[in-house]
Amino acid sequence: MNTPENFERIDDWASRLIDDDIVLDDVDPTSRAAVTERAERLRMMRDALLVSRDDTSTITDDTVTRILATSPRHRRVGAYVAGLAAAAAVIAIVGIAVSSTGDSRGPSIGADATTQTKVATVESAAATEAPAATEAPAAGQAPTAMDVSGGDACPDAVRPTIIPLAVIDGEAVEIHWSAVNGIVVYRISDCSVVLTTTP
Amino acid sequence: MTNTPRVSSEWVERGRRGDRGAIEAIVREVYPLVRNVCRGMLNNEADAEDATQNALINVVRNIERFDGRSSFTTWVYRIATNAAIDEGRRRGRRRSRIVHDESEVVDEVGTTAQNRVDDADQLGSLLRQLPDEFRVAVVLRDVMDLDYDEIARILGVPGGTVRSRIARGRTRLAELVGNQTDDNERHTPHA
Repeated sequence: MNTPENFERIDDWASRLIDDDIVLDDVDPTSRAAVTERAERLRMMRDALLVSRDDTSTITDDTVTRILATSPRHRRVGAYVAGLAAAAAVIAIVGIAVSSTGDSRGPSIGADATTQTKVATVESAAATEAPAATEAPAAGQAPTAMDVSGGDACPDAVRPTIIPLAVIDGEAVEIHWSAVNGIVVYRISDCSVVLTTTP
Repeated sequence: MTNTPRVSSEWVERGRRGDRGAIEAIVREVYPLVRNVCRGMLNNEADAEDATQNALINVVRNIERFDGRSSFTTWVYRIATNAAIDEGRRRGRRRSRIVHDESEVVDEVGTTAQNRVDDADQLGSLLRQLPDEFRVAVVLRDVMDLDYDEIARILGVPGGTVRSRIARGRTRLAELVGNQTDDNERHTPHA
């Protein structure tokens, strides 16, 4: 009898038959002809869909680069690189401050840090409270590594020291870094934070 | 089973630790699989490419969290099917319009060309009209040639459910083909 239920059963058998989940002997004898006919049709469709698969394409290098750039680890590394770049900038400032002879005011760490999008400065408040500290000393008065004994002056449990002594804008600083917590620059005189990065 | 990417457990472990080289190798190796799933599901090159890239981004972002409870390939299949379904839903409004337009074109040629039912592109277009749960089962079986057990693992449903969804999806597809070819001598009730 051609009821919807029968059609559904025939379709189910036909589908399983072409997937070798059953054999024709598993089908009710009175339905085998209908199942076979239906299976033939479903098999044609399956064969057509199977060939639609395309195994030959390859991903482009540009796409790979874009996708890899989304890796969380990659992004973290990017932040660390930015932090290290900030540290490099800090060291460069030291050089400028130390070698400066005519300019009474060295470059501002705050201004330099604004070029690093992932770097946040905490210097501005301290700078306004103690303006004298932000002024570079006259030539010959700037502290250098020779003048200040470096070391682990500012303990940091999570960020080991990577640069025990540097001079920023006339002040001796200590730079700490860790992969997880990023960079922090401490003022050696009172261990206050000059600059930190967000990893 | 065919089309299985050759991703070693060493690659996966290195990838989980963030080894960029291993992750890149994995991305390149699984790309054809992901792309074929997305093409089968979406039948539109631009949408499939978007879904493929989203799926690969999810692989890269989440590989650290892959816990090995399923095979890596099963995990990638799951991500690919989800990305394709998400992409299809995002483009749903536009897709509805396209399907409608294409159906009109198919109507014009289908009634006079029985042999066109074998055309993979046309079938792909009709396949796109199936509900997600049937379409994904048919794509994994008939496009990707996966067995019932693997499909069950990917979809997280019992094997009987997979068999049923494949059968019903194929039936719906046959109905759609029948509607295009005046060979619609019977109608199977819709789910």
